[in-house]
This record gives sequence, structure tokens and C-alpha cells, in this order.
Amino acid sequence: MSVVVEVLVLGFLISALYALAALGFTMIFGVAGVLNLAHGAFAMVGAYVAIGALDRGLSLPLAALVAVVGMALFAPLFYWLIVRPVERHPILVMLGTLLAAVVLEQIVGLSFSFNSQILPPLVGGSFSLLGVRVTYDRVVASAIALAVITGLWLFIHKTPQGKAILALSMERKGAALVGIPARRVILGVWAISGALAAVAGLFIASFMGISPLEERALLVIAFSIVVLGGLGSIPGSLWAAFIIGFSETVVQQVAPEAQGLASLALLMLVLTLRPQGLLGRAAA
Amino acid sequence: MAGALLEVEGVSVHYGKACALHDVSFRVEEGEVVAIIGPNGAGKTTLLNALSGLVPYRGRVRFAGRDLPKQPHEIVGLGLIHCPEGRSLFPYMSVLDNLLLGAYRRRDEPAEIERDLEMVFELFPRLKERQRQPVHTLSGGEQQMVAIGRALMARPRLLMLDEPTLGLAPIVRAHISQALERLRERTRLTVLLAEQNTEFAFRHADRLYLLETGRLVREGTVHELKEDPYVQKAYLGS
Repeated sequence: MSVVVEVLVLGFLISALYALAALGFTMIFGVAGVLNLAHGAFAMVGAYVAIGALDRGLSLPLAALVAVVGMALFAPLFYWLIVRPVERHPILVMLGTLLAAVVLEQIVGLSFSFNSQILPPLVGGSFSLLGVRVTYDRVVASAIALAVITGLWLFIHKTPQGKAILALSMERKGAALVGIPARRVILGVWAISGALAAVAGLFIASFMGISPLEERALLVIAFSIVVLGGLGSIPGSLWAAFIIGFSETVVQQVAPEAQGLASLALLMLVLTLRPQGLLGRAAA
Repeated sequence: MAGALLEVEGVSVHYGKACALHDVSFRVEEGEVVAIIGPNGAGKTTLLNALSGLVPYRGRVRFAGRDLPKQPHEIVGLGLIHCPEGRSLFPYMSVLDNLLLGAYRRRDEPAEIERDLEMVFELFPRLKERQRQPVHTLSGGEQQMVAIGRALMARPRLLMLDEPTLGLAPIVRAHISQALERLRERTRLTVLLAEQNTEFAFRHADRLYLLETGRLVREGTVHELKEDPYVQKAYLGS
């Protein structure tokens, strides 16, 4: 019984964090057709911005805010300087973003250290749920992740700006002909993507710790989720995040040595049966 | 002559070395329906794409007395609205969302937008029944109605229609034809129609231009073009 509860609680948290990490990645692909291989680095840099802010004496909530706002500004700038000049050449976009990710790793590693660091919990204390100790920090983190995902969903489906993002991901020419300014919307999506990556990075740094090279693992997770769910599909990414999050948690409980294999096995299975991913190319 | 709504002077479009439009000049007066007719590949779609900012061109275009901006969203903001060939709808969005996105650039009262929505539903009652349905599940004719409706939701000063009846069944074609007539009776809508179907063009246009391999070769009223021996021989099959 307690194993089931443990899997449910931990699985939910991990899945929600994975969803946060993957959503920005899939939105950039859906709207701009860009595979941003620096997305994992965005999450990692976001976490280190918070670590740096803490070192300078800021409180944890304030440091988290600096990280999220900082990445929301950094990501569009990154697009403007690195992606936009080579936008028409997908191979150059991949090479450029991958190279930039390695540069970011080195910059962060040299200014902090290459060792793993951990962010302190947001709130202390714990309670017992059917014999399983659950920290309040995990509850708060899950609630925040869920709120961010719900907020994003409402923004995309209920506001004119959000619908413009959806429209652009479905039909570029149609979007231009109703007067949606593609450049501005794409910059906005990069900002959202950067902010989401930062939130994911903060939580991951707080629960599992983070090191500069960790960004590669984050990118692999985001990439697996997005391919599993269907490139560019937001609901697909959500489904895939929960499938991968829970299967990894289950595997970790029953066969810890096989951790990391579950998601790859699932990915291979789905891609064999349904190469376009679970929810195909339907952006909505 | 002064004050035509749309004035096109010496517009040329090149795709690489190929010349798709060569030194095209024409005008559309406020309240007119002007048709550009010509065979497939003559450059009609290229012309409309240039005017809506999708394709770069050389030459001068003035709209409502001002030089036409280059960016599609600025052009839409001035009320030059393009209902394109192939429709370019948002396939996984509902009919209603597609129509409302047509009003994306409008900053007037929500009540005004609501009124235009009612007008579109009155024009195409079937869209009202299917407003919650995703567009990709509709028939071709219904999708064309959504495309025209979406363009109308922008409250166009000039509506550019590209082959609105291409590939549609005769009964749907008649329906769209009637809708266009009702629309003109009610509003003083100005229309630039690109049309391969001469019957449809002659029925709706006040004036026509004949475009062949990127050049305008004839201009005139319906009557003048119907009497033109060249047009008769090549396009009217008599």
C-alpha cells in the first residue's frame, strides 16, 4: 500500500516537473519550427541564476522570481542573436543551439563549479499520508507546477494572444492574413518558454540537485516527452510527461538499476507503432 | 482619377529569375467589384499575394491614398483583406474561433464584432449550426464559407477573393454566388476578385482585367470584354 502511495505522490511531482520542462520546448517547435537544443541549458541557467541570487543574500522567493523573469528576457534575446540569423536552415539551428548550450555549461561551470548544487526547500516540514512521509515542499511544488500548467492552458485557449500562438502553429499564411504579427508572437513564445524552463530548473535543482552538465539530461527528457507526445502538440506533451514521469517512478521502485530505461523503451515502442507521436501534429 | 481606393502602378514579381508578374498597373474604385481573369498560372494568385504582403514586389501600390506598407499585419490593419486560394484556415480550431481570429486586428467595440458575427451567420446559416465544430471536419464548401466569413470579420475596406468557387459542387457555387450578391446589396463592399471561371467573374464584376503570363492584356466592363473578339475566341468558346 505504502509503495503505491509513494509512487503516486512522487510520480505526480516528477511528471509535473517534466511537463514544465517539455512545454516550452514543444511550443517553440510548434510555432517557429525550431528545435531548441539549448532548452535544457535554459532550465540549468535558470537554476543557477537563483543560486547566484541566493549567494548575494536575496530571499528564496525573490531569487526564484529573478530567475524566472531573467530567463523570460534571456530566451527572446537568445532567439534574436543565435537562432534568427540561421532560422531557414534547420541543421544550423540545431548546431547553433547545441553549441550555445555547451558554451552556457562552461560559463556556469567556471563561474560556480561543475559539482552538483542543491536549492533549499521552499517550505519545511512534512506530514504522513497512509504511512508515507510527504514533505510540504513537494506538495507546494506540485501545486505551483499544476497552477503554472493550468495558467498556460487558459492563456493559450482563452486569450486572443494565446489563440494567435495556436493559429500561428497551425497555419502560418492564414495567421499572416488575419494580421497576426508572427515575429512579435514568436518572441513572446520564446519568453514563455524561457520562463517555463526556469521554473522547471528551479524545482529540479531543489529536489534532485543540479550541475552545469545536468542540462544534457534535461534536454533528453524534454526531447523524449515531446517526441512521444507528438512534436508541437501541447496536450500531447502533457500526456507524455505523465506517462514518462510515472513509468520512471515505478521502475525506480521495483528495479532502481533500470532507471532511465523505461522512458527510452516507451519511446521506442510508441515511435514504432505511431511515428508521429501520441497526438500527431495537432497543435491544439 | 484621383482617389481610387487601390492604385497599382508597374508592379513586378520575380521568383528567382522567373518573372511571375510584369509591370502590372490597375485600379479599384471604392464600391466596385473588379475581377482579374486569366488562365491557370497567369499570375492572379501571385498578384494578390503581393498585395497582401506575402510576396515581395517592385513597383508602387497605394491604398486609401497612402503607400501600402510591406508587412502583412500592417496591411490587414488598413482593411485590405485577402481570402486566399486554398483558404489557409486554422484546421484544429472551431468555426467560431476561426471567424473571431478574422477580427484579430480590430480594436473597436466587442458589440461591433458580435454584430459582424451575426451578419456572417445570417449569410451562411450552416456556419452557425457548426460553430463549435473543428474546421478540418467540414466539407470543402463549408470551409470556403468559413474563409469568406473570416475575411468579412476583419470588416474589409477591400476584400480580395482568390478563386472562391474553385473545386466546389455547382450547388455550393450557387450558394456562394448568392451570398456575394446579398453582401453587395447590403454593404458597399469593394471586391477584387481573382477568377479563372469567367462565368462567375462576368456575373459579379463591374470591370475586368485579363491577365496572361504575368501581363495585363485587356481591360474593360463586362460588356466590353464580352464583345472583344480575342476574349470571345480564347475564353468564351464562341
